[in-house]
Amino acid sequence: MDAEKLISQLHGLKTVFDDKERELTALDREIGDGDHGVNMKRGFSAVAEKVTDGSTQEILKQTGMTLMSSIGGASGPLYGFSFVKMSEVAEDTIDSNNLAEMLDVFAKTVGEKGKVSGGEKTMYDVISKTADLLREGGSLDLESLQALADDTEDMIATKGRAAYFKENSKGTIDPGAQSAVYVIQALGEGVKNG
Amino acid sequence: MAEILIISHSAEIAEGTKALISQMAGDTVIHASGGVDGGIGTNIDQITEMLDKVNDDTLCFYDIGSSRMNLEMAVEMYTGPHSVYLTEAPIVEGSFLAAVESSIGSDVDQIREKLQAMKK
Repeated sequence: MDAEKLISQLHGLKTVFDDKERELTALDREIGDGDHGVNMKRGFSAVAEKVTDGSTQEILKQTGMTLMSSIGGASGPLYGFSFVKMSEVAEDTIDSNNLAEMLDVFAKTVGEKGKVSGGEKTMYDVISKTADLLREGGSLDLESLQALADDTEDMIATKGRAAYFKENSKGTIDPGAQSAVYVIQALGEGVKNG
Repeated sequence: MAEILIISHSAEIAEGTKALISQMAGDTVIHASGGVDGGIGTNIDQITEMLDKVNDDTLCFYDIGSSRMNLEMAVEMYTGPHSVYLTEAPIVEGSFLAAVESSIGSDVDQIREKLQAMKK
């Protein structure tokens, strides 16, 4: 995935989150404050508008800065800062190995800044498993990514807003885990299709 | 002289805390910001903007939830010449103590030691 392909994948996420806004909002209404759909849509609309050229490193960094300032709550800073950190390890052309490295950084950043280690029903439960998924399976298809998000359905939230719902957070997929599926799918697809 | 940075989810908390501590420590430079777009929240940009204006080593105070995370990220991205520290002390009492200590000549390390005693 070269810079041009990376831009097209990131811009494509605007359309993805336009389509998925209602789905994410519905999940977040169950166990959060109901703004995750509109937040992700706003974030990637801003990316489509503001991030238009540069090297892969510059694109990832600008994407991160844009997400940090345009998405509220915890998900904006977490996604945003992760893109900034991923820019530090990205190569000029991102291949499967390099993407796996980037996903390691993604997981490390969310783990450290979000103070999570797994099983807390958060985006980390998806992100932290994707590098291995890519290394072992060779690609990141939607079905395998979705299975990771589906695993959060039965978890009881102990971090973030959903933690206030305790036992009642069971039965709903974590909205952040669901949005992570789409973000990582876009990166995986970019590498797979050159 | 050590400077103070305050980030809150609420503009009123940020401004009120600044007013309170300015009364006792008039000479200490205090950067305070709170709220996003007229509502409740914090944003990394408002912290970065404050950090761009610091002129000496700075102690940072935050309130709840994502304010800490935003602060941590902004501090990690700060490339200026001064040392910037997060503190674990409560936003009102901590910044008050730090500002008064700074005004009577304590340096950042001495103030940080004093703040340890009032950890959240």
